[in-house]
Amino acid sequence: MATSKNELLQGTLDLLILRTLASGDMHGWGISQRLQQISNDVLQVNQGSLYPALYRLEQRSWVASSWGDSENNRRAKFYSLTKAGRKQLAEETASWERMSAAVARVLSHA
Amino acid sequence: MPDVLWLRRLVGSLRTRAFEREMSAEIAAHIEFEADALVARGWAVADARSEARRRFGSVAQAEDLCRDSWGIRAIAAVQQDLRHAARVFVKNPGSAILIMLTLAIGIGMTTAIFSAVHAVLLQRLPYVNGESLVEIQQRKAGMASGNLGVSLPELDDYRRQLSSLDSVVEYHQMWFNLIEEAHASRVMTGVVSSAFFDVVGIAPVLGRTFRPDDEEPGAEPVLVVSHSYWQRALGADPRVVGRAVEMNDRVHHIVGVLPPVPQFPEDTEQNDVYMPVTACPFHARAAETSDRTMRIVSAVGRIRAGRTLADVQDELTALSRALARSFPDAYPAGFAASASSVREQLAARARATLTALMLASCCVLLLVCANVGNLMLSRLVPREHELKMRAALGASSSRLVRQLLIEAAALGAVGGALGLAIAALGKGLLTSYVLRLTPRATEIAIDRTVVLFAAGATILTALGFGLLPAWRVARAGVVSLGRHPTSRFLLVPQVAISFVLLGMSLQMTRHLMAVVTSDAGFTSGHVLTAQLDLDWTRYSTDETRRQFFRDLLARLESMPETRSAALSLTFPLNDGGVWRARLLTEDDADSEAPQVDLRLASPGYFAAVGMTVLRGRAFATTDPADSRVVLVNQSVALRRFRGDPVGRQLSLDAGRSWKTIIGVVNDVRQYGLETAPVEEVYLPFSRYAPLSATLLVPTGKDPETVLPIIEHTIRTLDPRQPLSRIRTLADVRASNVAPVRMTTTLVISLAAIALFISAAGVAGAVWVSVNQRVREIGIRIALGESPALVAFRAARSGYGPVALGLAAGVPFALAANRFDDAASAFQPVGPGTMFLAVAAISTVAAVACFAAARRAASINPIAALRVE
Repeated sequence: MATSKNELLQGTLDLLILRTLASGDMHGWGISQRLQQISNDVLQVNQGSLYPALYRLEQRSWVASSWGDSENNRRAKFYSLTKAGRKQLAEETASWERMSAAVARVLSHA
Repeated sequence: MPDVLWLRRLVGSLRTRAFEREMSAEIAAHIEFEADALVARGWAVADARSEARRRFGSVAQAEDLCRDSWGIRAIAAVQQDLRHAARVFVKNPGSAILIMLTLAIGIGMTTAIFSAVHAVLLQRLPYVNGESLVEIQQRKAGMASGNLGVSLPELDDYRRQLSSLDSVVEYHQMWFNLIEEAHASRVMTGVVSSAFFDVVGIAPVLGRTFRPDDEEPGAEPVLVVSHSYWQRALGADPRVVGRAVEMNDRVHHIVGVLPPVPQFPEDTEQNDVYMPVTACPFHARAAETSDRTMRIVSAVGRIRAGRTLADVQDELTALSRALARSFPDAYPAGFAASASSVREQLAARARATLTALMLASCCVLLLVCANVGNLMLSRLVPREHELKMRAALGASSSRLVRQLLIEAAALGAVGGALGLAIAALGKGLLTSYVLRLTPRATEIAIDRTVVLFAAGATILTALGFGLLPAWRVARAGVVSLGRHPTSRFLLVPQVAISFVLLGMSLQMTRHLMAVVTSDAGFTSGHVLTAQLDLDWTRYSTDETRRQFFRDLLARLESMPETRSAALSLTFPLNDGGVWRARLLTEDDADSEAPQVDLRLASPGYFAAVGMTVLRGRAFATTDPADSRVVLVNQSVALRRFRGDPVGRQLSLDAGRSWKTIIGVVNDVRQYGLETAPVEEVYLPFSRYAPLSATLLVPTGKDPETVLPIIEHTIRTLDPRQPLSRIRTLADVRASNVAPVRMTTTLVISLAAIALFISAAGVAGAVWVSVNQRVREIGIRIALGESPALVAFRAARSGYGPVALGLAAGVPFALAANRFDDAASAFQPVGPGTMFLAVAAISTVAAVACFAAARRAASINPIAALRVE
């Protein structure tokens, strides 16, 4: 799949995962589908890097996981946002907005 | 939160297998979801599967990244490094074993000595009120015997007038006969105030301690037994409370058993039982007198809350000044009362020795550190090739450093565990040694603190010796490991420390030899000595006692196995049993004449202990019982009579009566092999016939065969008469030097370890330098340099640090000389000994250098040039 789709900035994937989980518990594949869907296929998540990111978030206690049954009756590991994760999401969203606003200003005025 | 994270990581890492299983399942599920979605969009099932797998990418890579995220990789890497370390050790077991043994000895020695320091100097006393206990001591300037003790009227004053103490209790020690079911034994008895155990803070393990009503006149006599006596003589009977025994012709009931705590106040004999003061017949007699100079008890007080030792001392000084004004006769000039902390006092004799040993063993541990660091470096040299290769293949230097540190940690862990085992094995030996210095030795234990100390020492040591090679690898890469001067400079302090320890141990050995072989004034060793204490109720008159002693000597002398026997109050190097008096000659009627020791001797005494009658004669059985004859020792003859005193007169009671000198005997070191003899007068035993006596029987080579005969003889005379403290003179003499011998042995062992380690270090450095220069040496030999010269050059290269170390050691040895302390066995190191130590270390280092340099001479130039 030789796509020229945008590579995700370092650390951005974490933010996106947290945001995605804010709307409800999800398993890994669900997260990747949802990201793709919402970004109108602009953001293609490298599936190989999705799980390391999830594990990293879990190690930091921002997400929690448990095994459950999916809609089509498959066993899957579901991730949910923790309280600390919610706080982290708020902080990172704010900083992302500051950052993108600044970048946008530079691009339009320089 | 970070704590939780850390814990989760730990738990997570312990659950490695579960993690792997879950991860695989999750990734498999993901691929299934993807395939399901594709099927839903119309793909064929098989195609959907392979497309889903393709989209996911490399599962292995993703898994690796996941493991990294989870922190498992670090654990696995450590496991790998450990396996690698094990492989390296297996390939080169010699140096690994050497390192572990060196560590074990260093850590073991230090831990063992720390366990003693901890028990004796650091730990709180195992009594509830231990920290606030003081002993009131009274001394007179110029008297060698130290604490005089306290008389009962003085005790009364201290109890009433010292407001800084909330209670003052008394204590003294006596031997009594204890008869249980017609079996007589001799028990050491602590005679104490009823409040004694409450004030000190000792709770019984069985029954009770004393109550105030035990001390009332006419109270039922009761006993509290020590833990060791309960176990040894009473079979640890849990129902011992209430048992009746006979003592001093009265029935006593056992009311309690003490816990196993060190005995206080400190006495050379361990107490078997305790009785309240009113039950002690001697105390009752003393209580009738108002004589302030009859100082027979120890006074122990507890500092009132909020007051300090200094307060007690101030009050005591003021009070004793007031007493001296009221009773000038009882308090001559130079008399002083002082308060001494019991905790300090119990540790006093051990402090200097233990501190010095701790310092010495820390030195050895430092040396172990330096040396093992060197060994680790030298282990790297043959692996230089491997390390370079690994660096070239992309191993990061942090990985190499980590690996070296893991090797050090693994070696350190094994060494530390072995060291702890050494300390635990040596505990019994150490306790028996320290017991000669302080009763607190019984508290020595490998407890939590000691284990923590060993762990701390191990970690510090491992860091010490592991960081050095790691630092070198990190700094210089792996290039030219051994060419750095660090390894040789590390030898300098090693040699210096070895030198100081060797100097000290040589000096101590010389001193010990001098003490052991010194002329103490008595030559016999094969003499059985035994304490004989007559029952004061049945032998209340001089004549009954005299009769008993006369019969005993006559019977023993008539038997072929014994043939001779003697009686006295005490004997050389034994404690107690000495009377003192001022000696007046006819010439000087000076009432301030110095005191002399008075000793009792039966006619056979001088021959029995191997003393010489230099002039005149010894006592004779034919001397009448009331004869006024004495012998004096040489010091008295020389100082008081300036020549031959035989036939002249002396007085021991300020001129009221006079005695005739019939002979002169040689001086004897009565108080210790290192203590100078004092002036002595010998009085005939039969004239005084005391209640407590020492029986001396020369035995030939085998005292064991004679003892039953003596015991039988005594039984036939009086079946209720026990013998106690049975020892030979040789034993007494040996135990007199035992603490010195033990300290010396410890320091010698430390010095030997240090010397061995340094020699290994020096040899190792030479060996490394030869190995690195194989090619250069090969070329030299090929060009015709003689192998001997090559070896000499190689050896010389190792000798530089030795010379520097010796030079650095001299000022240290001089500094250590200031540690000269009368209470310890340490001796200042003289120039002769220093020279000897220099010669010894030079020789050992030279042997080590040449042994290692032999390799240089044996290098085959052709083979050497083909290397690499």
